[in-house]
Amino acid sequence: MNRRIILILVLPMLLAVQASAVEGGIPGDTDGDDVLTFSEYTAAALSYLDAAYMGGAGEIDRDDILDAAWVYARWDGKPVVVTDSSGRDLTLYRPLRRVVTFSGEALETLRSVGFDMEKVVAVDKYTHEKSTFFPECQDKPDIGSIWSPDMERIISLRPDAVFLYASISTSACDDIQRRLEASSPGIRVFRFDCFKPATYPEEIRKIAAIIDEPGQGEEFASFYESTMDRIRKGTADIPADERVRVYFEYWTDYKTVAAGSGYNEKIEIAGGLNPFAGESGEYPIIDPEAVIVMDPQVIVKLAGQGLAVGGYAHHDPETLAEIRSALLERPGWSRISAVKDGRVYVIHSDILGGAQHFIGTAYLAKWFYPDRFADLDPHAIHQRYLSEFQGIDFDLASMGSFVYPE
Amino acid sequence: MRGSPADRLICLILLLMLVPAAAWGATVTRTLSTAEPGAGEVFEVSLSIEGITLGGVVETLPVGYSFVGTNHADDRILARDGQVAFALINETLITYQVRAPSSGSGDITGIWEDFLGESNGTIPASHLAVDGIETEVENTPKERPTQEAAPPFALLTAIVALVIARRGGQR
Amino acid sequence: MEQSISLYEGYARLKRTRAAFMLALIFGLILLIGIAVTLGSADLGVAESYLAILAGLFPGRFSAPELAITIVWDYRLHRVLFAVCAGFGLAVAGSVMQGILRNPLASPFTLGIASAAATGASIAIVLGAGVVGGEYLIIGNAFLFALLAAFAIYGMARYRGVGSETMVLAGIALMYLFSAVTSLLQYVGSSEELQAVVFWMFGSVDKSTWPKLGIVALVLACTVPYLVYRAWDLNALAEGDEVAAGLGVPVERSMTVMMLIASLITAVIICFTGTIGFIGLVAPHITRMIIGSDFRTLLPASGLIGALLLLAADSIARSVLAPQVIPVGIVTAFLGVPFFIYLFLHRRDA
Repeated sequence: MNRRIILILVLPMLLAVQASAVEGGIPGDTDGDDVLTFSEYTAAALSYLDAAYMGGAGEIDRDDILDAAWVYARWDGKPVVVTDSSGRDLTLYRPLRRVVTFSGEALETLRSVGFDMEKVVAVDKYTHEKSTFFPECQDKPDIGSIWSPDMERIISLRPDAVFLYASISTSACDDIQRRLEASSPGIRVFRFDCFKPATYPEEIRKIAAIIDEPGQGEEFASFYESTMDRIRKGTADIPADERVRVYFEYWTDYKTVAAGSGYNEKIEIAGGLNPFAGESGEYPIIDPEAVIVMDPQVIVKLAGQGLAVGGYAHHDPETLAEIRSALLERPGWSRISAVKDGRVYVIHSDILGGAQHFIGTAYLAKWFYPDRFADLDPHAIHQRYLSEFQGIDFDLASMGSFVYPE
Repeated sequence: MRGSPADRLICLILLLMLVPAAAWGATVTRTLSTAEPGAGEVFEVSLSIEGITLGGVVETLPVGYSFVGTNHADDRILARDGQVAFALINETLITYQVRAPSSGSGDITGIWEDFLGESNGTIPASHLAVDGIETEVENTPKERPTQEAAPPFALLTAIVALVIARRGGQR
Repeated sequence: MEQSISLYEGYARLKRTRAAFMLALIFGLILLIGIAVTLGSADLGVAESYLAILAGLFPGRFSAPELAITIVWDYRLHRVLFAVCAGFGLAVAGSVMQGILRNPLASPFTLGIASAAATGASIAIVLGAGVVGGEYLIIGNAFLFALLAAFAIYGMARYRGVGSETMVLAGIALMYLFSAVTSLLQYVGSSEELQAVVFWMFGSVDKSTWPKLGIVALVLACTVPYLVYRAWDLNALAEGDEVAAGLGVPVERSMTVMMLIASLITAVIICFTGTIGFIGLVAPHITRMIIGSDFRTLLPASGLIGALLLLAADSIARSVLAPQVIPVGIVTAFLGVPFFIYLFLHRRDA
């Protein structure tokens, strides 16, 4: 009885899966050996022309022949295999034409490596909210968020690729991936983080390979690496006892960062020493007295989502200044070295978390070691990133607020 | 794309008639060795192609004129019923030979497709007349969808409307 | 003589009311299923949705656009049917609990089963530890812990003597214990893990699949007929332990078996959905108001009402903030408000 019931319930699903298109193989690859040879391509071209203009009955339609031409000319007739950040190998038999992104970082990276944003058919709701940073995405459909995805809308848009995170929200991302692959076998689900210093350069190159822009990908990866390597080299030879003591405060008062958090990693890349790194959890709340006792040499306060000022959405340096003043006025803080030396800074998570972390890390490095990084210009790096790689019309002089004091 | 090939063809031809052809990026021009061939004479047609790396051209000959041969590679042409398709790989010049009938006039029409550039267009028509004598374009007993004439226009418009309606219903 | 005739008449009327009510419920449920299947953010017309269902069942005779078939069969249909089964099961479990505990505010959650399931899920999410690996890690843990709570109550009740008071007390103790453990795990976990735990505890039908539906339907198919068969025992127990014993009902054994069955139904549902509250509490009450407390009809009727409530809640959850899908547990939590207000205003003996 068990099996029959399950069969009755599962059978329609099997039928449904069968009904959805099974896309495999390069269009025109008639012998199925995953190589589109010259003769296969020409046969496909003629078959298309015949069907389209001469009343013939071929199966190659316009989408197929455009993809076949692309594969033949740009991929040398062979499919592209990419390993995403979750370690899976994904094979592309056709170029991507309809992309859905759940991750703003992946979308930003796609833009940096020159992807045609017209081919992005839907974005997640957080991207939708960023009207200044993603102006061209405002009219695209909204497919919810990772924890609350609108699966029906995604399926209706018939994407050929969906971008999700690899190492955060894994259970939710795994669930979305499973459901997509079950109902539409042709969809490629790419898992990329695009916010971790350790893996980002590699991810840039892989994404560039996926969309077939190796040149642009290399250029952006070099731009990113030059900044980060510069910072790493500049701080490599500083002995542990000479490292600058940093107190990093999250959006909430007295919430700091510890070893599990990405912000701590960036502090360390910039050569800083976070005495609270050993605490448990990612964002431990510490005793205010411990900060005074620790006597940090530099204090960095994070603005952003939980403390909604600045960033791309607002141009309000005065508010950032107020936050800084409030820090300086905390009881007992006048004794802290950082306060006495005026080394108290506010930075926005838009440039320290996410795909732009290299800009924020450059600011950190400059604040921690102004002499070593005297010629490092994070502002210029930021502007170049926006104008040259992101291609958006955003003038840092008059728009947005990311650091204070500048 | 759904809809039978005939529907698509009709729709496309109608579209080509109604929309002025504009060549973007790529251009294809046709020249004839003679616009007034003698009866039964074999003459040459040259297509000069610019800007297409991977693409195709489909030429449609007027009634009575027949395709004889070409300099283009054998495995990249398809000739049938007064139409010839050429699969293009970087060519800039294609020539092919046509035999004129004993009498008759008409236009050679053509389309081109650029697969990498993802665009297409029409090749301006070239007029032919045997010995320079113009004849009326008539409805032949053979169904030749490539020859458009005034009387069937209304019927074709109705078919196109049906095709569009059916496709719209499937969205 | 006249009195007994009017009694007979009254009873006959009651039976007719019950029959009419059940029929109305069945019709209403079918109607609601019909509506729910057409709801969703994909742009499918009503006719298209039904055509897709038919095309899935009889592919030879009917055809529908591929997209419609995929959406309806891979996303909508099993979700709607799952909400029906889950609502049915939770309501039946709630009725049984209210019967054996003789407490109108009893629900599957009163015995700490939901809290235990939440703890199991938290352990899976925060510590990554569990019995079944992979996809079913959280589900397996939640189910296991829910059953653990059920057996714990049984053990504690055996120790102190099986009775409704001891079960309720044991249940409340367990509830607090498991809630504390869950809170600790939430504190210790990363912000990611915390988010995952909280989301699980909202309760949603989002993660339903055909196999999960099969499992739940199977459990219901095995247990509900048995419960209806034993409904007379429940009627007796509702009168009191001594009365029931006097009527020849094996009180201890019945209570234990019923409790375990209700816990099993609850466990198998909430391990897939997370903790969906109030269905098990509200559905039996509504049913009792209309057709009285005879468990022979109360069980199936409250099941149907539970199915209707959960399906309606899920449909609302899917539509009100479209394209966002609110977890259905949040919508059912709102159900509790008018219910308790009603109780508060119309206190009368059940």
